[in-house]
Formats: sequence, C-alpha cells, structure tokens
Amino acid sequence: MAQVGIREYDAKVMRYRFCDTPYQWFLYEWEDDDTQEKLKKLAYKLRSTGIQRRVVKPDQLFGKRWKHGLLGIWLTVDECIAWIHTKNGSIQTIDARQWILHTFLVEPHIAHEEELYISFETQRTSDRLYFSTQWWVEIESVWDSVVNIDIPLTHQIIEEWLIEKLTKNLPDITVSLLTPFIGLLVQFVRTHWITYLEVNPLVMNNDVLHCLDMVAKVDTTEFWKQTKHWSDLTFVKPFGNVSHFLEDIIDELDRKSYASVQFRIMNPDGRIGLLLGWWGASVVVMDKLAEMGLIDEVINYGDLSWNPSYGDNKAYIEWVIKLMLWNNHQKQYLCYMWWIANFTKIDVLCRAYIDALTPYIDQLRSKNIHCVIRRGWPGDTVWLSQVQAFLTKNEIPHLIADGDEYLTTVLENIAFK
Amino acid sequence: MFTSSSSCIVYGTHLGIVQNMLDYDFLAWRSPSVKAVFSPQWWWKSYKVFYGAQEMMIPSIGSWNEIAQFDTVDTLINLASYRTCTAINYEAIESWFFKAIFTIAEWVPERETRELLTYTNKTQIQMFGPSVVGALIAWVYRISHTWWSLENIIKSRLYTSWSIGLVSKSWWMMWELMRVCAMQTDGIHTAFQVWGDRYPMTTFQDIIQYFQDTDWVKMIVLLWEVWNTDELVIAEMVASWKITKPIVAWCIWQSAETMKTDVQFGHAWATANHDEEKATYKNAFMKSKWVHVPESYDLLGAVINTVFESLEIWTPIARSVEIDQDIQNKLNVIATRRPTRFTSSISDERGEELLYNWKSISYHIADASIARVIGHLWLKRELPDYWVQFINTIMILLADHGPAVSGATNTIITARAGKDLVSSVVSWLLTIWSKFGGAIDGAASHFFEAVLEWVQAQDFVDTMKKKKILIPGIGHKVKSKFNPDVRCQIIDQIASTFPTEATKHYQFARSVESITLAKKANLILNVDGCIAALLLDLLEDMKFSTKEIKQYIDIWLFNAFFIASRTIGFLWHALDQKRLNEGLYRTSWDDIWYRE
Repeated sequence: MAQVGIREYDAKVMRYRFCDTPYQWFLYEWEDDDTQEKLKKLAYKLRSTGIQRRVVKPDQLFGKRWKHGLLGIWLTVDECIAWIHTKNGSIQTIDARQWILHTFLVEPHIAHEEELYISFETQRTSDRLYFSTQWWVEIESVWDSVVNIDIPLTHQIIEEWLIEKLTKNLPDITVSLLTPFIGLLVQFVRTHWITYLEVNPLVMNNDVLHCLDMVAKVDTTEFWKQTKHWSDLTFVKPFGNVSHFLEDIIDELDRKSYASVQFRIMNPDGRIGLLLGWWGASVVVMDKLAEMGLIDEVINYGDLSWNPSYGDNKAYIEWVIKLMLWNNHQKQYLCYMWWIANFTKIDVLCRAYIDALTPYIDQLRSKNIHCVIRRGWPGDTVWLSQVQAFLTKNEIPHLIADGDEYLTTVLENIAFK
Repeated sequence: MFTSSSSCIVYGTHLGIVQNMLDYDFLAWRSPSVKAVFSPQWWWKSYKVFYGAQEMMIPSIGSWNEIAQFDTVDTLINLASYRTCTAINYEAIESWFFKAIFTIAEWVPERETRELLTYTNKTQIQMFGPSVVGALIAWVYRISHTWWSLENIIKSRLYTSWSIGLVSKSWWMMWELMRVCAMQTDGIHTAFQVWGDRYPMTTFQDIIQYFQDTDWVKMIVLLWEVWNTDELVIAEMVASWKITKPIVAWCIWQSAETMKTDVQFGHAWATANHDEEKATYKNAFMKSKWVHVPESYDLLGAVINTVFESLEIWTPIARSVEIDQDIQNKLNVIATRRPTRFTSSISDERGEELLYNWKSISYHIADASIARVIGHLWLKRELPDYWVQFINTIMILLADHGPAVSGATNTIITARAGKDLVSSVVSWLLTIWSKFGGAIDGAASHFFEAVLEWVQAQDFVDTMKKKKILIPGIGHKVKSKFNPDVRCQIIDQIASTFPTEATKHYQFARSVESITLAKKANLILNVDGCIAALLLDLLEDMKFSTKEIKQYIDIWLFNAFFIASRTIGFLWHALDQKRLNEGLYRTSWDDIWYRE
C-alpha cells in the first residue's frame, strides 16, 4: 500500500483522455536491441502531426530537468531526434544517484509568457489545492506565499465557491479561465484516484491553459478498482533504481510465495550480509549499524518473513552467502536478525539455515565469515542450540542471542579490525 | 471505552482468531469475549471452540439485528478482505450496536478510508484501522489476525494488567517492546499497533489521549517511524500539559538520512517528504518538549526503566519473566486439550439414570406422556399441556392411512417378498419426498415465509400460480369441501381453542384455503397443511427465533412428526403381511399399460 509516482506521459494521457482532448505526446523508450529504425519511426510520427517545434525531456520519475540541462526546447523534428540520440543511453547523476537515460517524452512546444503553479495533495478529510502566481522561481523557495484551499471530500466543486476562493488572490480574467479548468482537474484527480498531482508550470496560450509539466502519484491499493482508468498505466521504478539481477530473482521468489521475500542490493562490496525480519525491526538494525558507522558495509537489505517455506529460506540465504563470497574481503559478518516472532516454523528455518550454509562451509571458514544470530521465538532455545552446535562443529565463528537479549546488542560485537 | 465485560462480534468465520482470543480470555481470567461470528453465508451454523479445556459453541449470525440478543457486545472485529471491509464498516456503523470497530484488512484504498473518516466524524464510534495487525487491552481483548504465541504472552506477562500504555507503528517491534517493558517495568496495560496506512481512522494523538484518560495507564511508551509529523503534535500536547503522564519515545529510521541509495525501508509509504518528517528532527523536537527520548534505540530500555522507577509504582509481584503456577496450569490445559468427535444435546446415558434433555427418566415416566418426551428430545422444551395435547393428536392422526398409500404399498410388497422387518420399513422411508410424506415441511416453509413477510393470502396464491408451484398442504385426491377430512376437522377443533393471535400461521393457511376452494372443491387445506401451520404456531409460541424455525424447516423437523407417527402403522403393515403369510406380489398385466 503506497503512493507511487507515475510517468508524466501516463499522467497527461489519462488527463487528456478524461477531458476528451486529443493529445500529441510521444514516448520513446530505448531497449537494448534498439536500432535507428525506432528513431526513424518516431521522426515519421512527429512530422505527420504538422507541429513544427517541440520539447523533449527524459520521463523517468525525476524532476528539475531544466536545472540539470535535460530539457530540449523549441526543437525541430530533426533536432528532437538528434537530442534523443545524444542523451539516449547516457549516464546522468541526479541528486547523487546515477543511472542511464532511456525514456523520453516529446511534446508540442507551447509559447507563453506567464506561468502559474497548481498542485493537489490528499489530506485526511479533504483534497488540498495549492496554487501560486509566482513564476520563474523554484516553488519550494516561495512556499510560504503559496495559497492553499481545502476541498472537503464530500464537497463537489461548485464554480461559485471556487471563484470566491480564487478571487481573493487572482485578477478576474484569470479566475474566469482557471475556475472551469480547476473544476475539471479536481474531477480528474478524484475519479482517477490520483493522490498527488503537480502542474508546474501551468501556462496560458491564446486563452487556453496548458499543463507544461505534470508530476503525479497514485495509490497502488486502488489498482484492483481502477481497471478502467488505469488500463494503460505502466508502473516504472524510480530513477536510479534499476534492479540487480539477484533482486529480480528474489522478486520472482516473492511473487510465487505466500511469504514476504524482499531483497535489495546496497553495496555488493560491503562486509555485512543481512537476513532480516520485516519492517520496524529491520529498520532498527539498520539504525544500529549506521550508529556504529557501518552502514556503508551493508551488502543487502530486505526481509524474509511471514513463515517462508524451507525452499524460499534456503534460496535466499544461499544468495546472500554467494554475494559475500563474490567480494574479496576477509572477515565478514552474516547477520540473521529477527524480532520476537510468533508463528514462523522453527524447524523449517533451522534446517534451511544449516542446509544453506553446509555446501559453503569451507569457503565461509577461509573467508573468515562470522555468523551473528539474534532470534526470539517460541522454542528459540532448541533452534539456537542446534545452530550453535552446527557452527561450533564446523569451526565457524559465531555470536548468538535469544529473545531475552536486546535486539541490537549482539551487533556491538561486529568489528573489522 | 473497554471494560472486562466488553465483548465482540467477529466478522468472518476465522475460528483460529476466535480461539486465540478465547485462550487469552482464559489466561486473563475473564469471560469469553467473543459472542458470535458474523457470516451471512453460514448464518445457521454454530462452531465448536474451547474456553480453557471446556468446549463451547459460538453461534453464527447473518444479520445485524441479531446482535440485540447479546447484551454486552460493543465491539466489531472486522476481518473482511480489503475489497469488502469498508462496506461492512458502513453497515456496522448504521446498526448502532457498536462503540468500537477494528478493521484488520490491509490494502484498503486510501480514498475509502478518507470517506469513511468523513462519515464517522459525525458518530461516536471509535474506528481503529485499517491494517490493525494487533491490539491488546489487558483483561479485555487480544486482537490479531496472526497467531500470538502463548509463550510470548506469558513471557511478557500480557495476561494481566499493568501500567504501560504502548503504541508502536511496527507490529513486530511491538513484541520486542512488550518484552522490554516486561523486563524494565511492571508490564503492559494496553498496546496498540498503529497502522501502516497513511490515514488511520484513529490517529496517534487519539491513542495517546486515550492513555492519558485511562487511570490504569501510568506511563506511555511509543515507537514511531519517519514520515508525517504526529510526534511533533504529541510533543506540543506534552508541552502544553494536555498530556501529563510521562512519555518515552523513539522514532526509528535515522539511518535513512545517512544512506546514499534509495532503498525503501519499513512501511511502503514511509518516506520523509520534508525535514520535519525525518527521524532525527522528530527525536530532537520531542526531547525539547520534555518527552523522554534516549540517545539511541539501545538505550530505550534503560530510559523506560528510569522513568518507571521515578513513578514509584507498587507492583504486587516481582518483575520477572518466571511463570507462576496458575498460569502454568492453564498453559498445560491448553496444550493437552483434545476436541471431541461428536456433539449430543438431547440425552445423556452416562449417569445413574438416563437423562432426556437433562431430566431423568423417572421424571418423564411420572408424566407418562410420549408427546411431552418428544417436546424434550426434539425441541428441548417443557411443552405446556395444550401443545402436548396437539402433538398427541397428530401422532394418532398420522399413525396410519390404510394400505393403499404409496409408502404402505411399498412396505407390503417388500414384506411379501420375504424381506425382514427393518428392510420393509426402510422401503417406505425411502418413498418420502414432496409428493408423499414430505408435504408438511413444504407447507411449513411457504406458510412461514409468507407470514414473516406479511404477504396477503391472495398475493400468496397468485405468486405460487405464477411460479407454477402447487401449494404444499393444499389439495387432496379423495377428500373435498363436500367430503371433508375428519382429521382436519379434529385439528380445527383444537386450533379453535387457541387465541387467534397465537395461531397466525393457521389463520393464514385457512385464508389460503378459502381462496383455493373457490377454484376447486378438492383444494382443501389437507392434514399436512393443518399440521404444518399449527406446528409453526407452536414454535413461535415456545419463543423459537426466526433463524431457529428456518433451520428446523431445513432439517425436516416437521416431516419428522410424520415419519415417527407413520412408522407405527407401517411396522404393523409389514408384520401383518408376514402374519397373514402373504406370498410374493406381482402386478397384474391388466394394471399395466404397455406402450411405446
């Protein structure tokens, strides 16, 4: 259950379909086996619209493209294609995150002089409309001047009501254009269950309002209800968030399993491999490691909970071990950290843990990998003593704590010197 | 809001959860907190569960107004899925029975929750959820859709009430903190896990205010996460003396601010959009407003202990996790109990004297009435004399109807074929269906529904005609208006001695007869119809509920009278044939039409 961002292209297509207005946006998505053919087809489509000048920009869930030099404006069709060709596949650094550009939005250029800012955000019992007439500024820097209007959930937009609210802040002519536009926008947001929508800037050209830029988020819990409106919606990962092949493997495991199996690579060259339980407890572990100055040593984050099967357990643990064995470090820590649990099957976990480690015992020993375990459980004594006996017999250094010990105390023994 | 006599309805047949709650009730020395499960599909069922070692039945209900029978119900545990739970909540609110509703489902659309919030703002009902993974109110409820191990409950001494009000954003950390509180203080009074959704119906501030208003809670512990600014509101409440009880708090996820990667941690929505939502900011802010905030999670236990000790609360038992003997005995009871394979509610042969409906044979013999015994065994009621007389009468009237009826003929043929007595009787039993012997139930079903829904007799007849259904209980092959059935006249005489208002089904049946007789003389209210109508009146007079009467119709109680009575006659038809040494029967060719 989350509010997730959607592409600008998808948001605009949904809005213009809702308003029954033809749209002239094109999305170019690069694939590995791409050829010039795809760019030629795009050029053909662009020429066939008759629109002379265009804007092109990456559409990969990040903003401030103008600031990062990633906005091409007033371009002919050939210039558009050349712009995409240059940027396509290039590595960009945005807010300390790096990734490859691969998706571009091409849209008509709209000449304008003034700009407005409009956004919607869901609140507890209302939708909040923000707007500002300040332009050519970063909106965050003038946020105090932004006007907000709370539209109660039960309130259908009535033009007179909106006019009264807007008139205090805007000249009449703008109000007369804005009112129906906002009314329609609110309907769009509510029928399509957009939880956040930002249009920055909103511009006027020949007395018609245009959304030059659009950022939108939707509530993923609505997915099963929005089959009509979201049928063409594509959910993409945020910029800088392309998955490692291992993450894809374990995502597949998660899809097939009734349990929760999550896995994200943080630093493959780290020295701490993690086997974690869910949510709050995993965050407490991460906080502790950050406090100890070891956050950059963490190889992976994720969770393995809700009573995973023997097979899921074993596969997950093996992959974490492999990650640790692939790097060149001597002395690493494999940490199995869990809260006081209730219903996961002890014997399944115990067998899976021991069976996962068994084929790699010699390598674990040669790389001086320590096993750290903290599990609180019904019957944890039996499980922990079995694991301890296994690790002792195979001369694997280990630290073991049960549920009566504080969750993070055992981590204090991690030391790399 | 909740007391030790509070009780709840569980929506959905989640018997595992019901059993968990009852086990907690047993450990916590309180009466069973679950009164019924709400299941529109299985409304007629009852379910066997344990309270300690004792088996008990939990009924199922199918409509909200049935809750009126349970005096103490004030809570609904809504276990419906995310697709339907909101609709259920609206119905529950409009039923006006509940003070609190817990919605367990996750993945409820935010929109639905927000709309429900707007609606419930006008009511007094306290809504918890969605995504209530668990809540514990000492001596009242243990609510969870996941199994809470008894070992954890014991180790954290959750079976009784102590001084700490605990609220945690993380369900799993709540278990850790309950253990920490058990070791550092006297233990938990109430623990809520406040929910992963962006807009929980009961806010964090509401929970803290509840703790402030609950006398038993002396100290509050809270564990929160990044995103939103609830903690800042709480801190301001402390600073302005709205909250006077000490709060120990910690906001997790400080590490997110030091990370380079954009891995999403914790709850799916949990990201900080502004500085005020970051963990470090919130911890610092709370500390500045006299909330007790440790330097790190590791020190949380020590701070809890220091604050608790400063309150100088007297605790009756030593603060340890050793289990006392009483609790150990209860655990042993729970661990060793075994469900029974059969259930019987009508007789008991184990004691010195055989019991029928918990009354001894001597008692029944003194009365010398088989009809009254039927009342005890079948209806589990002591019937008044006028109903005893009626049952006696119908047992006599239905005992036999000559050899020509289908069942008797089958019995006779089977007996003459040389079969034993049991086989001969079984052959007539197998003849019973809607056309023979089964009409009493059919008549009862239609008459009951019609009277329940205030259908007029004419409308009833018209509807049955449109549906092309012959009205069970109406019509006879031989008897008619001009050749009345004496059996019906006898029953009518009995019915006339009852007050009219006590025989509404019989009056209805007679009204139907007056309409059908106008069409054809043999469309009389036959003996099956008479008996069905009066038996319905008997059940209502004996205060059986609508649900129970429907169940009795479904399980053929009404036909049971026919079967019990007619067996008397048919037994003798079989014996009569054997006594008369009748030979094998073969139908004459004259009685058969051979056709293509």
